[in-house]
Amino acid sequence: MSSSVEAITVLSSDGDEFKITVSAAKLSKPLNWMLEDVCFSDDCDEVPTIEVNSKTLVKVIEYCEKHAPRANSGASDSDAEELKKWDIEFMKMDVKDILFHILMAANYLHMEGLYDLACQTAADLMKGMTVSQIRKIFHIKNDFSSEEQEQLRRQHPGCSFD
Amino acid sequence: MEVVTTPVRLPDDILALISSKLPIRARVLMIPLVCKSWAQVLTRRDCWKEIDLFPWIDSNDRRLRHTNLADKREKMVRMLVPRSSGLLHTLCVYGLESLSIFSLIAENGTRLRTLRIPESDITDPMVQQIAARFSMLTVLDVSKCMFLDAPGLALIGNNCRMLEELHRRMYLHFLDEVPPVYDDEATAIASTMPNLKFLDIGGHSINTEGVHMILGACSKLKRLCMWRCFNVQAQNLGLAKNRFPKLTVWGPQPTDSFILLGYHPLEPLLLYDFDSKF
Repeated sequence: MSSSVEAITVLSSDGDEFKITVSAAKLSKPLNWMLEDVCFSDDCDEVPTIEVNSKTLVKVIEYCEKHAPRANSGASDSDAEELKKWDIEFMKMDVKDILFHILMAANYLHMEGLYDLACQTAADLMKGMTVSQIRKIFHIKNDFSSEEQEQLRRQHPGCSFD
Repeated sequence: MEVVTTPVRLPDDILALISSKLPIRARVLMIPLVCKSWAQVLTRRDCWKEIDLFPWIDSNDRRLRHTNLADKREKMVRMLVPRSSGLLHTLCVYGLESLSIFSLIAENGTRLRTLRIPESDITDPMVQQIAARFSMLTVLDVSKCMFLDAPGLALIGNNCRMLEELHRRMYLHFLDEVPPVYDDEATAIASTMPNLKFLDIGGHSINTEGVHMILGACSKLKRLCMWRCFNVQAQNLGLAKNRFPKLTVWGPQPTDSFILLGYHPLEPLLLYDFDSKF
Protein backbone atom coordinates (compact mmCIF):
# COMPACT_ATOMS: atom_id res chain seq x y z
CA MET A 1 0.00 0.00 0.00
CA SER A 2 1.35 3.46 -0.79
CA SER A 3 1.80 6.30 1.66
CA SER A 4 -1.12 8.14 0.09
CA VAL A 5 -3.50 6.44 2.53
CA GLU A 6 -5.75 9.04 4.12
CA ALA A 7 -7.52 6.98 6.73
CA ILE A 8 -7.11 3.64 8.42
CA THR A 9 -9.75 1.35 9.80
CA VAL A 10 -9.42 -0.02 13.31
CA LEU A 11 -11.55 -2.24 15.47
CA SER A 12 -12.62 -1.36 18.99
CA SER A 13 -12.41 -3.92 21.77
CA ASP A 14 -16.08 -4.74 21.24
CA GLY A 15 -15.61 -5.31 17.54
CA ASP A 16 -16.96 -2.15 15.90
CA GLU A 17 -15.10 -0.60 12.98
CA PHE A 18 -13.79 2.96 13.18
CA LYS A 19 -11.98 5.18 10.69
CA ILE A 20 -9.13 7.40 11.79
CA THR A 21 -7.43 9.86 9.44
CA VAL A 22 -3.68 9.51 9.18
CA SER A 23 -2.98 12.96 10.56
CA ALA A 24 -5.19 12.28 13.59
CA ALA A 25 -3.56 8.92 14.28
CA LYS A 26 -0.20 10.70 14.56
CA LEU A 27 -1.29 12.04 17.96
CA SER A 28 -0.79 8.60 19.46
CA LYS A 29 2.40 6.58 19.22
CA PRO A 30 0.73 3.16 19.25
CA LEU A 31 -1.77 4.28 16.61
CA ASN A 32 1.06 5.64 14.54
CA TRP A 33 2.86 2.30 14.70
CA MET A 34 -0.29 0.54 13.56
CA LEU A 35 -0.55 3.01 10.73
CA GLU A 36 2.98 2.25 9.61
CA ASP A 37 2.25 -1.46 9.79
CA VAL A 38 -0.81 -1.02 7.62
CA CYS A 39 1.01 1.21 5.13
CA PHE A 40 4.13 -0.84 4.70
CA SER A 41 3.07 -4.43 5.10
CA ASP A 42 1.98 -6.46 2.07
CA ASP A 43 -0.97 -8.20 3.64
CA CYS A 44 -3.00 -5.20 4.66
CA ASP A 45 -6.26 -7.09 4.93
CA GLU A 46 -5.98 -7.44 8.65
CA VAL A 47 -7.77 -4.71 10.60
CA PRO A 48 -5.89 -3.80 13.81
CA THR A 49 -7.77 -3.93 17.09
CA ILE A 50 -7.47 -1.24 19.71
CA GLU A 51 -8.19 -2.37 23.24
CA VAL A 52 -10.59 0.46 23.93
CA ASN A 53 -14.36 0.07 23.93
CA SER A 54 -16.50 1.68 21.23
CA LYS A 55 -18.05 4.35 23.40
CA THR A 56 -14.64 5.56 24.50
CA LEU A 57 -13.00 5.20 21.11
CA VAL A 58 -15.59 7.54 19.56
CA LYS A 59 -14.51 10.23 22.00
CA VAL A 60 -10.81 9.53 21.56
CA ILE A 61 -11.09 9.78 17.78
CA GLU A 62 -13.17 12.94 18.09
CA TYR A 63 -10.37 14.45 20.18
CA CYS A 64 -7.68 13.34 17.73
CA GLU A 65 -9.49 14.75 14.69
CA LYS A 66 -10.01 18.09 16.43
CA HIS A 67 -6.43 18.41 17.61
CA ALA A 68 -4.68 16.97 14.56
CA PRO A 69 -4.54 20.11 12.37
CA ARG A 70 -2.93 22.12 15.16
CA ALA A 71 -0.51 19.41 16.23
CA ASN A 72 0.70 18.94 12.67
CA SER A 73 1.05 22.55 11.59
CA GLY A 74 1.35 24.65 14.73
CA ALA A 75 -1.39 27.24 14.98
CA SER A 76 -1.91 30.80 16.16
CA ASP A 77 -2.82 31.89 19.67
CA SER A 78 -6.46 32.48 18.81
CA ASP A 79 -6.70 28.89 17.59
CA ALA A 80 -5.16 27.67 20.84
CA GLU A 81 -7.73 29.70 22.75
CA GLU A 82 -10.57 28.22 20.73
CA LEU A 83 -9.18 24.73 21.20
CA LYS A 84 -9.05 25.23 24.95
CA LYS A 85 -12.75 26.12 24.97
CA TRP A 86 -13.46 23.07 22.85
CA ASP A 87 -11.52 20.89 25.32
CA ILE A 88 -13.65 22.14 28.21
CA GLU A 89 -16.86 21.36 26.31
CA PHE A 90 -15.43 18.01 25.26
CA MET A 91 -14.74 17.05 28.86
CA LYS A 92 -18.27 17.77 30.10
CA MET A 93 -19.05 14.08 30.12
CA ASP A 94 -20.69 11.58 32.37
CA VAL A 95 -17.99 10.66 34.83
CA LYS A 96 -19.24 7.35 35.99
CA ASP A 97 -18.66 5.45 32.81
CA ILE A 98 -16.71 7.54 30.37
CA LEU A 99 -14.06 9.69 32.11
CA PHE A 100 -12.54 6.65 33.74
CA HIS A 101 -12.20 4.93 30.36
CA ILE A 102 -10.86 8.07 28.70
CA LEU A 103 -8.13 8.17 31.36
CA MET A 104 -7.22 4.56 30.73
CA ALA A 105 -7.34 4.93 26.96
CA ALA A 106 -5.26 8.11 26.87
CA ASN A 107 -2.67 6.43 29.06
CA TYR A 108 -2.68 3.29 26.92
CA LEU A 109 -2.48 5.22 23.64
CA HIS A 110 0.26 7.56 24.93
CA MET A 111 -1.76 10.66 24.16
CA GLU A 112 -0.17 13.28 26.36
CA GLY A 113 -2.62 16.08 25.66
CA LEU A 114 -5.74 14.04 26.29
CA TYR A 115 -4.18 12.29 29.29
CA ASP A 116 -3.35 15.59 30.93
CA LEU A 117 -6.77 17.01 30.10
CA ALA A 118 -8.57 13.98 31.52
CA CYS A 119 -6.49 14.03 34.71
CA GLN A 120 -7.22 17.74 35.14
CA THR A 121 -10.92 17.07 34.65
CA ALA A 122 -10.87 14.29 37.22
CA ALA A 123 -9.01 16.52 39.68
CA ASP A 124 -11.45 19.41 39.14
CA LEU A 125 -14.29 17.02 39.72
CA MET A 126 -12.84 15.63 42.94
CA LYS A 127 -12.03 19.07 44.38
CA GLY A 128 -15.46 19.70 45.83
CA MET A 129 -16.18 16.15 46.94
CA THR A 130 -16.17 14.36 50.25
CA VAL A 131 -14.23 11.16 50.76
CA SER A 132 -17.34 9.02 50.47
CA GLN A 133 -18.43 10.79 47.25
CA ILE A 134 -15.03 10.04 45.72
CA ARG A 135 -15.36 6.39 46.70
CA LYS A 136 -18.75 6.30 45.05
CA ILE A 137 -17.78 7.69 41.65
CA PHE A 138 -14.66 5.55 41.38
CA HIS A 139 -16.42 2.47 42.74
CA ILE A 140 -13.93 2.08 45.56
CA LYS A 141 -14.59 0.05 48.66
CA ASN A 142 -13.51 1.54 51.96
CA ASP A 143 -10.93 -1.01 53.07
CA PHE A 144 -10.01 0.62 56.36
CA SER A 145 -11.29 -1.16 59.44
CA SER A 146 -13.20 0.98 61.93
CA GLU A 147 -10.20 0.99 64.29
CA GLU A 148 -7.88 2.07 61.50
CA GLN A 149 -10.28 4.78 60.55
CA GLU A 150 -10.47 6.05 64.09
CA GLN A 151 -6.69 5.97 64.27
CA LEU A 152 -6.36 7.88 60.99
CA ARG A 153 -8.71 10.51 62.27
CA ARG A 154 -6.74 10.87 65.46
CA GLN A 155 -3.25 10.66 64.02
CA HIS A 156 -3.68 12.43 60.74
CA PRO A 157 -1.17 15.22 61.04
CA GLY A 158 -3.08 17.47 58.67
CA CYS A 159 -6.33 17.43 60.60
CA SER A 160 -4.91 19.59 63.34
CA PHE A 161 -4.50 22.44 60.86
CA ASP A 162 -8.20 23.08 60.52
CA MET B 1 -4.62 -3.96 28.99
CA GLU B 2 -8.32 -4.16 28.65
CA VAL B 3 -10.86 -1.52 29.34
CA VAL B 4 -13.99 -3.12 30.71
CA THR B 5 -17.41 -1.64 31.25
CA THR B 6 -17.35 -1.72 35.03
CA PRO B 7 -14.49 0.45 36.25
CA VAL B 8 -11.51 -1.35 37.73
CA ARG B 9 -8.90 0.19 39.97
CA LEU B 10 -7.17 3.29 38.59
CA PRO B 11 -3.53 2.53 37.79
CA ASP B 12 -1.10 4.21 40.19
CA ASP B 13 0.46 6.44 37.54
CA ILE B 14 -2.88 7.92 36.62
CA LEU B 15 -3.85 8.43 40.23
CA ALA B 16 -0.52 10.07 40.99
CA LEU B 17 -1.00 12.56 38.16
CA ILE B 18 -4.57 13.34 39.21
CA SER B 19 -3.44 13.82 42.81
CA SER B 20 -0.67 16.18 41.78
CA LYS B 21 -3.33 18.36 40.14
CA LEU B 22 -5.50 18.50 43.26
CA PRO B 23 -5.24 21.36 45.74
CA ILE B 24 -2.81 20.48 48.48
CA ARG B 25 -5.55 20.40 51.11
CA ALA B 26 -7.36 17.58 49.30
CA ARG B 27 -4.08 15.77 48.75
CA VAL B 28 -3.38 15.83 52.48
CA LEU B 29 -6.80 15.47 54.06
CA MET B 30 -8.93 13.51 51.59
CA ILE B 31 -7.11 11.23 49.18
CA PRO B 32 -5.26 9.20 51.86
CA LEU B 33 -8.62 8.49 53.55
CA VAL B 34 -10.29 7.02 50.45
CA CYS B 35 -8.69 3.59 50.61
CA LYS B 36 -5.38 1.89 51.35
CA SER B 37 -4.11 1.81 47.79
CA TRP B 38 -4.79 5.52 47.29
CA ALA B 39 -2.99 6.28 50.55
CA GLN B 40 -0.08 4.23 49.22
CA VAL B 41 0.09 6.22 45.97
CA LEU B 42 0.31 9.44 47.97
CA THR B 43 3.64 8.28 49.41
CA ARG B 44 5.19 8.68 45.96
CA ARG B 45 7.38 11.74 45.77
CA ASP B 46 6.08 12.81 42.36
CA CYS B 47 2.74 13.65 44.01
CA TRP B 48 4.45 16.45 45.92
CA LYS B 49 6.33 18.42 43.29
CA GLU B 50 3.98 21.33 43.71
CA ILE B 51 3.14 22.56 47.19
CA ASP B 52 0.95 25.65 47.02
CA LEU B 53 -0.32 26.42 50.50
CA PHE B 54 -1.87 29.82 49.65
CA PRO B 55 -5.47 28.59 49.16
CA TRP B 56 -5.32 26.45 52.28
CA ILE B 57 -3.96 29.27 54.42
CA ASP B 58 -6.44 31.74 52.93
CA SER B 59 -9.44 29.48 53.59
CA ASN B 60 -11.34 29.92 56.87
CA ASP B 61 -11.27 33.72 56.75
CA ARG B 62 -7.52 33.68 56.18
CA ARG B 63 -7.13 32.74 59.81
CA LEU B 64 -3.89 30.83 59.23
CA ARG B 65 -2.28 33.88 57.66
CA HIS B 66 -2.02 35.73 60.94
CA THR B 67 1.54 36.60 61.95
CA ASN B 68 1.13 34.75 65.26
CA LEU B 69 0.58 31.45 63.50
CA ALA B 70 3.97 31.13 61.81
CA ASP B 71 4.66 27.94 63.76
CA LYS B 72 1.54 26.31 62.29
CA ARG B 73 2.54 27.28 58.76
CA GLU B 74 6.05 25.99 59.39
CA LYS B 75 4.61 22.73 60.69
CA MET B 76 2.78 22.33 57.39
CA VAL B 77 5.97 22.98 55.44
CA ARG B 78 7.95 20.57 57.65
CA MET B 79 5.38 17.87 57.05
CA LEU B 80 5.01 18.32 53.28
CA VAL B 81 8.31 19.48 51.79
CA PRO B 82 10.31 16.32 52.69
CA ARG B 83 7.68 14.21 50.88
CA SER B 84 8.95 15.59 47.58
CA SER B 85 12.46 14.34 48.46
CA GLY B 86 14.25 16.66 46.12
CA LEU B 87 11.66 16.86 43.35
CA LEU B 88 10.11 20.06 44.72
CA HIS B 89 9.22 22.35 41.83
CA THR B 90 6.88 24.94 43.35
CA LEU B 91 6.47 26.11 46.93
CA CYS B 92 4.06 28.84 47.99
CA VAL B 93 3.54 29.72 51.65
CA TYR B 94 3.09 32.90 53.65
CA GLY B 95 5.12 34.13 56.57
CA LEU B 96 7.91 31.74 57.54
CA GLU B 97 10.22 32.76 60.33
CA SER B 98 12.91 30.33 61.41
CA LEU B 99 16.28 29.63 59.84
CA SER B 100 15.66 25.89 60.18
CA ILE B 101 12.64 26.09 57.90
CA PHE B 102 14.55 27.98 55.21
CA SER B 103 17.35 25.41 55.48
CA LEU B 104 14.83 22.61 55.05
CA ILE B 105 13.48 24.24 51.89
CA ALA B 106 17.02 24.73 50.61
CA GLU B 107 17.88 21.07 51.22
CA ASN B 108 14.87 19.95 49.21
CA GLY B 109 14.84 22.81 46.78
CA THR B 110 17.63 22.23 44.30
CA ARG B 111 15.04 21.82 41.53
CA LEU B 112 12.81 24.60 42.77
CA ARG B 113 11.50 26.83 39.98
CA THR B 114 8.88 28.86 41.83
CA LEU B 115 9.36 30.02 45.41
CA ARG B 116 6.78 32.33 46.97
CA ILE B 117 7.41 33.22 50.59
CA PRO B 118 5.79 36.65 51.07
CA GLU B 119 5.56 38.12 54.58
CA SER B 120 8.48 35.98 55.75
CA ASP B 121 11.15 37.03 58.19
CA ILE B 122 14.04 35.97 56.01
CA THR B 123 17.19 38.02 56.63
CA ASP B 124 20.28 38.76 54.57
CA PRO B 125 22.51 36.31 56.55
CA MET B 126 19.90 33.56 56.02
CA VAL B 127 19.91 34.31 52.29
CA GLN B 128 23.68 34.02 52.34
CA GLN B 129 23.44 30.52 53.77
CA ILE B 130 20.88 29.15 51.35
CA ALA B 131 20.88 31.16 48.10
CA ALA B 132 23.41 28.90 46.37
CA ARG B 133 20.89 26.02 46.46
CA PHE B 134 18.36 27.87 44.33
CA SER B 135 20.18 28.07 41.03
CA MET B 136 17.14 26.86 39.05
CA LEU B 137 14.75 29.47 40.42
CA THR B 138 12.77 31.44 37.84
CA VAL B 139 9.98 32.93 39.97
CA LEU B 140 10.59 34.44 43.41
CA ASP B 141 8.16 36.25 45.67
CA VAL B 142 9.74 38.01 48.64
CA SER B 143 7.02 40.63 49.02
CA LYS B 144 6.76 42.21 52.46
CA CYS B 145 9.83 40.38 53.73
CA MET B 146 10.75 43.35 55.89
CA PHE B 147 14.08 41.98 57.12
CA LEU B 148 15.39 41.37 53.65
CA ASP B 149 17.59 44.16 52.37
CA ALA B 150 19.46 45.19 49.28
CA PRO B 151 22.51 42.95 49.99
CA GLY B 152 20.16 39.96 50.33
CA LEU B 153 18.50 40.78 47.02
CA ALA B 154 21.91 41.08 45.37
CA LEU B 155 22.87 37.66 46.77
CA ILE B 156 19.68 36.23 45.29
CA GLY B 157 20.41 37.86 41.94
CA ASN B 158 23.97 36.56 41.89
CA ASN B 159 22.95 32.99 42.73
CA CYS B 160 19.69 32.67 40.81
CA ARG B 161 20.87 33.48 37.34
CA MET B 162 17.69 32.23 35.70
CA LEU B 163 15.37 34.51 37.67
CA GLU B 164 12.67 35.92 35.39
CA GLU B 165 10.00 37.05 37.79
CA LEU B 166 10.51 38.97 41.02
CA HIS B 167 7.77 40.07 43.38
CA ARG B 168 8.92 42.63 45.88
CA ARG B 169 5.68 44.29 46.92
CA MET B 170 5.71 46.24 50.14
CA TYR B 171 3.03 47.27 52.61
CA LEU B 172 0.95 49.97 51.06
CA HIS B 173 1.13 53.59 52.04
CA PHE B 174 -1.82 55.89 52.42
CA LEU B 175 -2.42 58.28 49.56
CA ASP B 176 -1.37 61.36 51.53
CA GLU B 177 1.74 59.78 52.97
CA VAL B 178 5.00 60.09 51.05
CA PRO B 179 7.38 57.32 52.11
CA PRO B 180 11.12 57.88 52.51
CA VAL B 181 13.11 57.17 49.36
CA TYR B 182 14.91 53.88 49.44
CA ASP B 183 16.83 53.01 46.31
CA ASP B 184 19.46 50.42 47.33
CA GLU B 185 17.18 47.62 46.23
CA ALA B 186 16.81 49.16 42.78
CA THR B 187 20.60 49.07 42.45
CA ALA B 188 20.68 45.45 43.58
CA ILE B 189 17.98 44.45 41.09
CA ALA B 190 19.52 46.42 38.23
CA SER B 191 23.02 45.08 38.78
CA THR B 192 22.28 41.39 39.46
CA MET B 193 19.02 40.45 37.70
CA PRO B 194 19.45 41.19 33.99
CA ASN B 195 17.05 38.45 32.87
CA LEU B 196 13.93 39.73 34.61
CA LYS B 197 10.77 39.68 32.52
CA PHE B 198 8.28 40.58 35.22
CA LEU B 199 8.92 42.83 38.17
CA ASP B 200 6.30 43.70 40.77
CA ILE B 201 7.31 46.41 43.24
CA GLY B 202 3.86 47.66 44.33
CA GLY B 203 4.06 49.94 47.36
CA HIS B 204 7.86 50.05 47.28
CA SER B 205 9.55 53.30 48.30
CA ILE B 206 11.77 53.17 45.23
CA ASN B 207 12.02 56.47 43.29
CA THR B 208 12.13 57.56 39.65
CA GLU B 209 15.93 57.19 39.47
CA GLY B 210 15.70 53.61 40.71
CA VAL B 211 13.09 52.61 38.17
CA HIS B 212 15.19 54.27 35.48
CA MET B 213 18.17 52.19 36.52
CA ILE B 214 16.12 48.96 36.39
CA LEU B 215 14.65 49.77 32.98
CA GLY B 216 18.13 50.44 31.66
CA ALA B 217 19.62 47.21 33.00
CA CYS B 218 16.79 44.69 32.55
CA SER B 219 16.35 44.80 28.80
CA LYS B 220 14.04 41.74 28.71
CA LEU B 221 11.47 43.31 31.05
CA LYS B 222 7.94 42.92 29.71
CA ARG B 223 5.79 43.77 32.70
CA LEU B 224 6.49 46.26 35.44
CA CYS B 225 4.02 46.80 38.24
CA MET B 226 4.63 49.78 40.50
CA TRP B 227 1.22 50.31 42.00
CA ARG B 228 1.36 52.97 44.70
CA CYS B 229 5.06 53.63 44.33
CA PHE B 230 4.45 57.25 45.27
CA ASN B 231 8.09 58.30 44.89
CA VAL B 232 8.01 57.51 41.20
CA GLN B 233 7.09 60.21 38.69
CA ALA B 234 5.94 58.09 35.78
CA GLN B 235 5.98 61.03 33.38
CA ASN B 236 9.75 61.33 33.88
CA LEU B 237 10.48 57.76 32.84
CA GLY B 238 10.33 58.38 29.11
CA LEU B 239 7.71 55.69 28.70
CA ALA B 240 5.59 57.89 26.45
CA LYS B 241 8.43 58.23 23.94
CA ASN B 242 8.17 54.54 23.24
CA ARG B 243 11.68 53.79 24.41
CA PHE B 244 10.51 50.43 25.73
CA PRO B 245 8.09 49.14 23.11
CA LYS B 246 7.67 45.66 24.65
CA LEU B 247 7.04 46.91 28.17
CA THR B 248 3.68 47.16 29.92
CA VAL B 249 3.64 49.32 33.03
CA TRP B 250 1.05 49.46 35.78
CA GLY B 251 0.90 52.24 38.34
CA PRO B 252 1.83 54.22 40.26
CA GLN B 253 -1.85 55.23 40.24
CA PRO B 254 -4.37 52.51 41.22
CA THR B 255 -6.56 51.03 38.47
CA ASP B 256 -9.03 48.20 38.30
CA SER B 257 -6.69 45.71 36.70
CA PHE B 258 -4.78 44.95 39.88
CA ILE B 259 -6.88 42.02 40.89
CA LEU B 260 -5.94 40.49 37.55
CA LEU B 261 -2.31 40.90 38.49
CA GLY B 262 -2.81 38.74 41.53
CA TYR B 263 -3.43 41.47 44.05
CA HIS B 264 -5.83 40.15 46.59
CA PRO B 265 -9.07 42.17 46.76
CA LEU B 266 -8.34 42.65 50.46
CA GLU B 267 -4.83 43.91 49.82
CA PRO B 268 -5.22 47.37 51.43
CA LEU B 269 -6.31 45.67 54.64
CA LEU B 270 -2.80 44.37 55.04
CA LEU B 271 -2.00 47.58 56.83
CA TYR B 272 -3.59 45.74 59.73
CA ASP B 273 -1.01 42.97 59.41
CA PHE B 274 1.64 45.63 59.38
CA ASP B 275 0.41 46.90 62.75
CA SER B 276 0.39 43.48 64.29
CA LYS B 277 3.93 42.84 63.17
CA PHE B 278 5.55 45.92 64.64
